[in-house]
Amino acid sequence: MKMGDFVKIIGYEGEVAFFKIALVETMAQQSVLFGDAAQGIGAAAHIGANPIESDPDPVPYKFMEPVQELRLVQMRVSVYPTDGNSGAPVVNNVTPAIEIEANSPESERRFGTDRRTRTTMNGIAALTVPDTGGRNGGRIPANQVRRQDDQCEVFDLWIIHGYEPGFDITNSMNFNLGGIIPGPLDFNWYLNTQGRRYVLGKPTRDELDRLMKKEIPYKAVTLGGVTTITMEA
Amino acid sequence: MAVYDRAAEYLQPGDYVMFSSQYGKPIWLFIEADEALGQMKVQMTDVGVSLAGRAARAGAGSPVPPFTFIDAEPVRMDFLEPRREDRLYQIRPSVFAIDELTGHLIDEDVIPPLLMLEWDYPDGTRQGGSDRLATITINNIPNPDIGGPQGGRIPVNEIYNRSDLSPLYDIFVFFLTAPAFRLINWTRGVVGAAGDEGLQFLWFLTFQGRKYIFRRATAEEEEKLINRELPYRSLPSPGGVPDTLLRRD
Repeated sequence: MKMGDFVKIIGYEGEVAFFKIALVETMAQQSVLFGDAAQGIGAAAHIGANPIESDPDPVPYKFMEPVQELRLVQMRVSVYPTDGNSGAPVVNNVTPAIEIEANSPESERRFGTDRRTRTTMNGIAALTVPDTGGRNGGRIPANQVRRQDDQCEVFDLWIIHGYEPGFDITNSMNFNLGGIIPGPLDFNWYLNTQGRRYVLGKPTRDELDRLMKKEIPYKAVTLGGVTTITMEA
Repeated sequence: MAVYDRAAEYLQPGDYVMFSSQYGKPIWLFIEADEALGQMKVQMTDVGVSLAGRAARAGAGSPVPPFTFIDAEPVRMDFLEPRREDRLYQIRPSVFAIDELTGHLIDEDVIPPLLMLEWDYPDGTRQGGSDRLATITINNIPNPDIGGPQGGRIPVNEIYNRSDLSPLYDIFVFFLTAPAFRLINWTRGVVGAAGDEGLQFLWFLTFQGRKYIFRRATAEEEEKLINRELPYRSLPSPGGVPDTLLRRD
């Protein structure tokens, strides 16, 4: 978004408010190391099984919290591995089996569907995934947020005062991410955050009327995603 | 390699969409909130669970062997069902394969278009083909049962899980419905399994997309939408277009 744009912020319970972007600044890049030679992320024994996580729960990113009201952060995550010796980026080993688990800024694991079910392909127990879907069952595939590519807005998170997101990396491969045994995925793994931060202004009464009638274009962002249904089959 | 906008065709809060069943009156919906689904995946083959390749054609008069299937019927993905009436999923299916030995993502250039995904629409019907089913014989090679209302399948090389997924096969899922999928193989290579043939990888079916909360458009909004005073996007019918009486040539 640019200065002068209007944004409609949608709360988790459906409450909405319009704001005008008063100031904008790039956040550049901030990187966190998730796996290296000394601290690998273990290999899943069976690739179809639940993945191995870098931490039991997503780690809060306290540095991403706006510390005042009327400030908004648009956050975009990306992943890259580097060679442990040369530091050069590794291009070809970021697969969709490596995924990012994310807590929304409200500190609830997000992404996924309403239902969590057992899925068996071909009627074979070896191809049974015990927990597919569910309200926290989605993860961000690393290959679609590769640092080498143009970054996309599909997995953007929006953060306001008082909240912070959390992240960890999951591994559905039978190879370590990082680790001490040389192998195709034994690199240093980084999770990067980029994005922009905004100062929000309040629209005038006339602007508000026209926004409600859709006479002025605006961007709508949902904080924390859609409401969760607690009942699961 | 085709390049797509990764956010292409996703709806946004504030959008109006028109939805119609196969035969029904259209209704207009207003998208109130959205959220990414992330990625969910199921594994379709393993080193111990493979999908055979089709046999070689025996002679000029013999029919082309049919597809081989990984499942007898498409497997219903129950976790893709929204649990309330005011919720809508936009599902973007994709497929990827990894090398069991190296852990590498298999390059999409080696994925044959004859490896395909067969799917049931969320309302439970198989769709994706044409109106007519026919045997096509070319150069003495009979190709039985081409086309028909259930004769279309998604070539996996078009939905390979690279950075940019195609929105061409997006599926919209409403309350009480869920799509189903199975992998079919018309190549001569084994898919999955140990060995030295070209398609012996671990194959995954993945789902990405967005979920939405919507409300019905108000009468005032609907009047403006009908008069095209407000822009809207139409969603594909969950059951496709109506079938005609099956005609076989």
